[in-house]
Amino acid sequence: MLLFLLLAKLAYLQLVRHDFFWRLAQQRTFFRVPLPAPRGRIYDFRGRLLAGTRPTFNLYIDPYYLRGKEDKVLKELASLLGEDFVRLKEEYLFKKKRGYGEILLRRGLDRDTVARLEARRYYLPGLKLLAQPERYYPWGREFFHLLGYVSPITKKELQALKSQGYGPEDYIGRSGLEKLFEKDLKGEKGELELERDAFGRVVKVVGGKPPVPGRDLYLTVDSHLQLQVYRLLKDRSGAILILSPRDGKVLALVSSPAPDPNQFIAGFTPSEWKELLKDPLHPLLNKALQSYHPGSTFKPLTALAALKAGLVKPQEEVLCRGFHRLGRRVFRCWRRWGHGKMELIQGLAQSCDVYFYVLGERLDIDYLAGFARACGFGKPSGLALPGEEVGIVPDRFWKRKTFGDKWHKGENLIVAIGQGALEVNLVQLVKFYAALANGGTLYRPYVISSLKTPEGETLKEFGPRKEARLPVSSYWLEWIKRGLQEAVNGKKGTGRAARLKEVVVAGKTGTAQVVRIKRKKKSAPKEEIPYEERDHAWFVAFAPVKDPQIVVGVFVEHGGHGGSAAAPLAGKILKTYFAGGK
Amino acid sequence: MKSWFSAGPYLGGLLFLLLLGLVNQWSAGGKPLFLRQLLWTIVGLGVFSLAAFLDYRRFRAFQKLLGLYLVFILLLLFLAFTHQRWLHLGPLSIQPSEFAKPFLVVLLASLFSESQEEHLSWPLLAGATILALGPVLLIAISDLDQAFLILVIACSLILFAGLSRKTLLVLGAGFFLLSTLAGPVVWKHLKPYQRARLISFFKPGKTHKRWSYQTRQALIAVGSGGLTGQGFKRGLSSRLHYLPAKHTDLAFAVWAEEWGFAGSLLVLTLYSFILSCLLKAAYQARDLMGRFLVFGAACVLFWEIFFNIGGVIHLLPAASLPLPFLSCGGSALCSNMILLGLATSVMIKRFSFI
Repeated sequence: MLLFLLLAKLAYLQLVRHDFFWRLAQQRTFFRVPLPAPRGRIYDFRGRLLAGTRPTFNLYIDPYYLRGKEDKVLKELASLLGEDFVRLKEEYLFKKKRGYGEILLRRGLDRDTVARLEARRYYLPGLKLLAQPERYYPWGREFFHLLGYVSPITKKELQALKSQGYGPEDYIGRSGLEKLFEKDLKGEKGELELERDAFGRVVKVVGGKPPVPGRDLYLTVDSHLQLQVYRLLKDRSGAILILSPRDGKVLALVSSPAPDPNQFIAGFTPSEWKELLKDPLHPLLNKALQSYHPGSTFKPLTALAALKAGLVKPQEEVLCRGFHRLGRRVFRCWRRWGHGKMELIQGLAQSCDVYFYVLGERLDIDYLAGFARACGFGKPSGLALPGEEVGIVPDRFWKRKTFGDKWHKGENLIVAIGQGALEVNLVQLVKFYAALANGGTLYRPYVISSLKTPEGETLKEFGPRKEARLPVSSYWLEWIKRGLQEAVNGKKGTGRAARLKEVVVAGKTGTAQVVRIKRKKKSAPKEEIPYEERDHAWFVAFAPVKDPQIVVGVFVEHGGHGGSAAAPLAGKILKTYFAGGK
Repeated sequence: MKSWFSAGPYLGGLLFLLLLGLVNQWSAGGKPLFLRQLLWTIVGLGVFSLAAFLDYRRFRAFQKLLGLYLVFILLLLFLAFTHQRWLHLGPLSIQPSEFAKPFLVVLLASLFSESQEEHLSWPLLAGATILALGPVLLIAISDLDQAFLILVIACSLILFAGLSRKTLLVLGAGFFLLSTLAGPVVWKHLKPYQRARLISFFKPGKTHKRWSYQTRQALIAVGSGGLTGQGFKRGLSSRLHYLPAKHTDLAFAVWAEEWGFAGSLLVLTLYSFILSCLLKAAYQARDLMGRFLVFGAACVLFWEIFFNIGGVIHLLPAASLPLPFLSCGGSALCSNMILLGLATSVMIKRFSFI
């Protein structure tokens, strides 16, 4: 009978192919929704919030449902949002071209708008409103280069990081601490397993797991100091780093100018982004991590190397006539009419180039380079922020490798005053001065004091780490310190702008030439030199000299003279620190 | 009384099926539909006993029945012109096309019982054709599936009555000619969903994506039932509304999902048991009228089951026909109960010679 035919097919479907259909039923019925984990927060050492997470309503739109009726839906949406239709469509098309799947069209909607949109849901196919945790920075620009920023994941990154649990709606840390601690900050995504009926409605929650929020970072940074420091640098390009010489704690790290990190979350318009990239002040670069010629701030190291090798006595006098001759070449002092008789302390205080040309002539470059490396130059500073340039400490091997050429004696003299091929970054320099200040211990600079769970349980503590000692005895260090003290407090010191009444400050200016002297007139006023050719200004100071509490490194890009552009800033910082710090 | 006892297992099977139908409606349609079905089942049982106690031999008066038949045709005509399937009478809604089946079976049975020859004569055949084509054409306007079912039933009855070899050949050739000529025309006038059903059946894809939504969901429901099923009221497909028309056309999918292969086997066994009882009764019937009546009832039942379950499990193109007893629907239940009641009447009158 034909009924057996029915029975046979039934047996086939229900017994043989049961697994196949069961799987189909599962796929059709159950689906998983990822629950985003709130990103870990970042606090300063007082427990002030520097980067947090807040819930916002975000408007997503799926172009798939809009095919053929884009204009209609977008018009409706524009009128509900109270925006211009043409601009909304432009933005939609731009984001559609760049993105994939759902487009994040608006973020941070207020309650009324959300209610209005929900009520008109039927006319807005493909629309999705989600309450999601979102990164926000209460301060913004001031902490941009220290904290970094987060921005939406790109298609390429998504392909590479899918196995680590990233989804297309996620944000990823791009620079600074956000990038460095991405793994700790991002947390663990949760999941919701839902049962869905034929109309796509969620019937009930079957299972899932809650998201684990990211871990919180506690910094060593003092946010008051940081804010003030940023204000000082405003409108100028440069960086300031403040360390505690006692343990290498970073008290402030600022690079200016800086964009607002909150805007990376909201997204830039193409023209804003272009402007940001074209800005001659390079707001996206962290200047504390870029390497430049250190100029005269390098002179204490030259002096130390010479003292250690016994090539010079502190009392030995060198006559500065404004130039120094080596073979047929003439090396000029920055003071064309010369300093007269110079010994170590005045050489440092007045930053006499001829004195250090003489030391450079006596020193062997390989010895000097080795000494500089032992002081932490030419290698990562240990702060571990992404994007650090380690700089260059030139020696014979480097010269042969890079230029295929022999080392010339003349280059010794230029390196001795911190020019030539020598490049260092602010962090390395300040770290070295911190070692000078504390009697010779090189501490690794650190900015994170602890890593905690959101409940406040400490997971990991970070303490000071001694990297090495400066390879000289503390006796020589005292001589250098006296020179630096004289540079700020002496009558003819170059760094007098940083002098304080209450505290004894020691410091060293630096003026790094960007272009060779010949090409520009030395005496020309600052305004006549094009911005790109102006000198970089440096100043590194520590105070009080007897028992140093703070090391301040100031770098002003194309700022001009170290003594006039950088030292006053350091003076103001020290003043506020010692006025309010106690 | 002996005849009643001999009909016992048959009646038991029927009651059991009705009970399963109620259980299935409880799951598929929820409480309101269950209560309605319960009401219709009681009505259906009443109609059944009425038909069973009636003496079927009274229907031999062909002329009287013809009058009723004409009234019925007029009703169908009215519905066809207003493009309705349902007749709404206050709270009741009746599907008159369902009642075409018992009408036709009774009429054809009384017509064929006049003839004493081995083969049907030409006038009888022509009469039967006219009788059958009337409702078929009128119903086809609003409900093609139902019309096709009635046509198949009428053909089976005519074949059962017997045709000479010559007539069969002529008819076969005629049918072939007609279908090749009329096929494209009919195809053109089919509704899009009907065309899609046929296409999805005759051009089956390798993957499930080629199946139509209804077929796909029905297959998933049936297949995911497995051996023992997902349990009463626990079927994913029916509970979450994935199955369209789950209390009528796809009632069997609900049943198969929740009770698995065991449940399907039980239902099919019950059906075949009832069908075999009917066929036996047709063989043992006292007169030709009874034989045709019982066979007609069996035919109706069999084709309904075959088309419905075949459609659900993708053995045939999907058709929107109710499954006897398991599907919701008062008219279908009543018309089936009338037929089975008449068949029972034939069964118990086997030994009476009054």
